[in-house]
Amino acid sequence: MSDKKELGKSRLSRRELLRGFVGLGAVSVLAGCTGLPVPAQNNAQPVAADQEEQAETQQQAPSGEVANIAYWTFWADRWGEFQREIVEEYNKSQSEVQVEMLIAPWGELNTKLLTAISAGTPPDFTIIGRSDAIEYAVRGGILPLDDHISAEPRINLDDWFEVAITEVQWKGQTFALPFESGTYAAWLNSALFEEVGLDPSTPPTIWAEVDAAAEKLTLGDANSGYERLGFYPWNSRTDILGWLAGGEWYDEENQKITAVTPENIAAFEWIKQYADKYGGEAIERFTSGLGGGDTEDDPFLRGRVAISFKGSWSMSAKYEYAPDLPFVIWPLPYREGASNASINQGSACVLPKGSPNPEAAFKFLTFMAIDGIAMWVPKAADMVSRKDQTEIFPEALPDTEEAHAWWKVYNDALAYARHEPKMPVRLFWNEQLDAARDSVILGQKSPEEALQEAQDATQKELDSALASG
Amino acid sequence: MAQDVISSVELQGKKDSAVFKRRRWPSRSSLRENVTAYLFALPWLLNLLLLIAYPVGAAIYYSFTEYSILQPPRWVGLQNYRDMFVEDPLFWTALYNTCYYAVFAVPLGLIISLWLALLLNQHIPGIGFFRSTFFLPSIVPVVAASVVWAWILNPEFGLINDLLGRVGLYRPPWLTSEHWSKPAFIIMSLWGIGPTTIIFLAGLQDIPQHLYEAAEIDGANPLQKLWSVTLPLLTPTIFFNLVVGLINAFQIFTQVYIISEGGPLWSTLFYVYYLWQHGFRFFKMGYASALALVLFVIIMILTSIVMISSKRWVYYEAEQR
Repeated sequence: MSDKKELGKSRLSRRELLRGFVGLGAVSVLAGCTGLPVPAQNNAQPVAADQEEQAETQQQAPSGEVANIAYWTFWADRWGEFQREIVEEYNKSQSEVQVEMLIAPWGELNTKLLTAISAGTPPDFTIIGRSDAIEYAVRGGILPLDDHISAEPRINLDDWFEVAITEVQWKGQTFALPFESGTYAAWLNSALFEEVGLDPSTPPTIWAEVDAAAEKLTLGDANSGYERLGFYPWNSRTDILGWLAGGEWYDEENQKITAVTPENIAAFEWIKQYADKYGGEAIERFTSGLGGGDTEDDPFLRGRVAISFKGSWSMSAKYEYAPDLPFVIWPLPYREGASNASINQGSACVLPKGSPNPEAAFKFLTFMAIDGIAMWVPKAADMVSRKDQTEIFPEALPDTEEAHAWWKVYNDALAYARHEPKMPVRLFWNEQLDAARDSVILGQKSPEEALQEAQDATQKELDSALASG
Repeated sequence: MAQDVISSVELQGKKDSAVFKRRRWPSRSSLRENVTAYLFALPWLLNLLLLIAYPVGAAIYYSFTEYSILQPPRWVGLQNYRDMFVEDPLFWTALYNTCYYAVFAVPLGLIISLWLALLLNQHIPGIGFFRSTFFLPSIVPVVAASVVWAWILNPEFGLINDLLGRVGLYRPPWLTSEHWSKPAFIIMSLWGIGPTTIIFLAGLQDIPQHLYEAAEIDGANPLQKLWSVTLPLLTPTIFFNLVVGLINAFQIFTQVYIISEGGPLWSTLFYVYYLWQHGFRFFKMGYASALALVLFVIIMILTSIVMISSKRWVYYEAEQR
C-alpha cells in the first residue's frame, strides 16, 4: 500500500474528513431517533425531537408556576376547531394550567394512545369513546379518579345520568367522567307517509305497526330491485334491537353473556322476518348503493328509506342538507310487551396511565366534564350527560318549536337508555353480534344458532380476559 | 507488495499442507479503508439492528406471552400457538381465505402482466406513453384506490355490474356476498400489476435478438417463438415475480381494512387483517405476534418450495440444458 503514502497528505485528510462527517451523521441520527432522556424530576418526560405535542412538564408547582399539559383529541375539522376554542377559553380563564391540544383523528387516536401508554409517553389528558373506557380500565390503561373526585368539591357523581356514569365504573372505582352523550330515536318521512295514506302524527310504537307501515312504504321487489324501502331493522345498531325486545345482552354481576334468551331471539326473528319477506340479499344490494349516513346522500334524507333509527347527532346534518324535509322523531318502537329502550353512547374524559401531570390534568378534566361540555353542545349539537344541563339547546338546530320537541325526545331517552355491555372484550363481542346478524340476514343460520355461536365465542374470550386481568 | 508476508500455516490435522494459507494482519491503511466502509454502512446496519432485528426478535418473544400492550407481557409458553391451531376456528378461516386469494391472484397477475409486457415490448412511436399509463395505477395510494374500487364493484350502481347488465349477464353481488367477495378482491389486485409488468419488460428486453432471428429462419411462428425462445429465457424473471407476488399476496391488508373489515361473514377475513385485529383492537398482541410468526414460517416454506422447484424450470442464460 505504499502507493497511498506517495500521493501525499491531501487524500488521507479528505478521507478523515469524510469519516468524521459520516460518524457525526450516524450519531446525530441515533440521537434524533431514540431521544436521549433528560435527567428526570418527578413528573418530567423525555423530550423527543419529533413529539411537538409533548410540552415540557413540571411537577405540580406552588401557585405562580404554570403546569403545561397535553390533551389529545379525536375531533377533527370543524369539531376540532370547536374543541380548540374551548381549550383557549380555559387557558385564558386561569393561569395555573395551560393546555396544548393535539388532534389525532378518530381511527388513529386509539392506536396512538396504546403505543404511547406502553412507551411511557402518553398525554396528560385525553377523551376517548366511553365504551372503550372499561377496556382500558381493566387493563390498567387509564387511572382511577376516585381520589381526585373526592378532593374536588364541584364533582358529585349523582349529577350525571346513571347510564353515563355507570358505564365508566368498574369494581367500585370510577375511571372517567362522561363528556358528551348521544341517544337513538326513530325518524319517519312525513311526506312519504302521507303519500301512502298513513298518518305521520301517529307514528308506529310497536314492531307490528312498523311492519305494516313498512309494507305500504316499500317500492319494488326482491327480483327487480328496490327503489325505496319502508324500513329494515338493521339500518343502525344491532344491540338496541335486543333491548327493544325486552332482552339483555350481558349479566354484569356474573359476567355472563346472555345472548340466547327468548327476547333476543325474538329480536333476531324480527331481522329474519324482513330478510325472508324482502330478500336479505336484495336488501343488501339496495343498501350498498345508498350514500353515507348524515351526508348529503343520506338514505333517509334522500327519501330512499322511509323509517330510520338515527342518533341525536344526525339532527344537525338533517337541518343542513335537507332543511325542508318534513319529518317526525319519536322514541324507538319496541316489541309488543316490552318498553322504551335506547342506547346512550358518548365519550369520556380520562387520564391515561403514565399521565405526567395528573393533578393539573384533573383540573382540566373537571372543567371539560362540567363547563366544557356546556360550551360544546351548542356548537357541536351533541347531547349532555349531566342532569342539570338538559336545557342547553344546540345553535346548529333552528330555534323552532318543532326542533325543540325533537331535541326533547332525545333528551328524554337519556333516562331509559342503556349503555353497551361493560366488558373487556367489547369490540370482539360487537363483531360477533354483527356476524350473527349477517348470518341471519343471508339465511345462513337460524337466530338461535347465530346467537348461540356469538355467545359461546365471546364467553370464552371474556373468561380468559377476566382471568388474566 | 513489500508489506505482504507470506507465511505457510499448517492446516489443522493435515501434515502435508499443500495449500499455503496466506494469513497476514491487514495493513494499517487497508484497515482504515475497512473502518471507513463500516462507517458508511453504519446507518443501514443500525437500521437493520434497531428497526428490523430488534422488533422481529421482540415479536418472537411476545408470541410466547400474553401481552395487552397496556400491561407488561406475561409468559404463557406455547399457549398462543395451541389456541391458534386447536381452539380458534377463525384462524383456519383466515388462512383459507388468504390461500384462496393467493392461489388465484398470483398466477392471474403473472399471466396478465406477462401478456401486457409482451404487448408493451414493441418499438412503436408512443410506446412510452402506454408503458407509463399501465404503470400509473400502482402508484395511486391504496386507500383511495380501495374506496374507488368499492364503488366500481357496487352491486347496484357499479361500473362492472352496469356493463354486465347491459350485455345481459348475471350481476354478482360482489362485496355484499360471501361467495363473490374474494373474487372481488382478486379482481382488485389485478389493477396493481404495473411493477410486475415493468420487470417482465426488462426481462423481455434482455433476450438476445439473434435467437428470434434464428427461430424465424427455422420457420417458427409467433406462438412457437413465444414458447421456445421467450418463455424459457424469461423464467428467471417469472421466478422472481412469482416469489415476490406470493409474499405480497399473503400480506394483503389495506384493502380489507378500508373496504370490508373481514365481512361479510368472514369471507374476506385475510390473515394480516386478522392479526391486526387481535393486536390493536382486542388487546392481544401476544396472540398477534404468534400469528405473525406462523405467517413468516408459511411464507418461508412456500418460498423454499418455489426455490427448490426452480432448479427444474428456471433456465439461466449460460446454462446448458
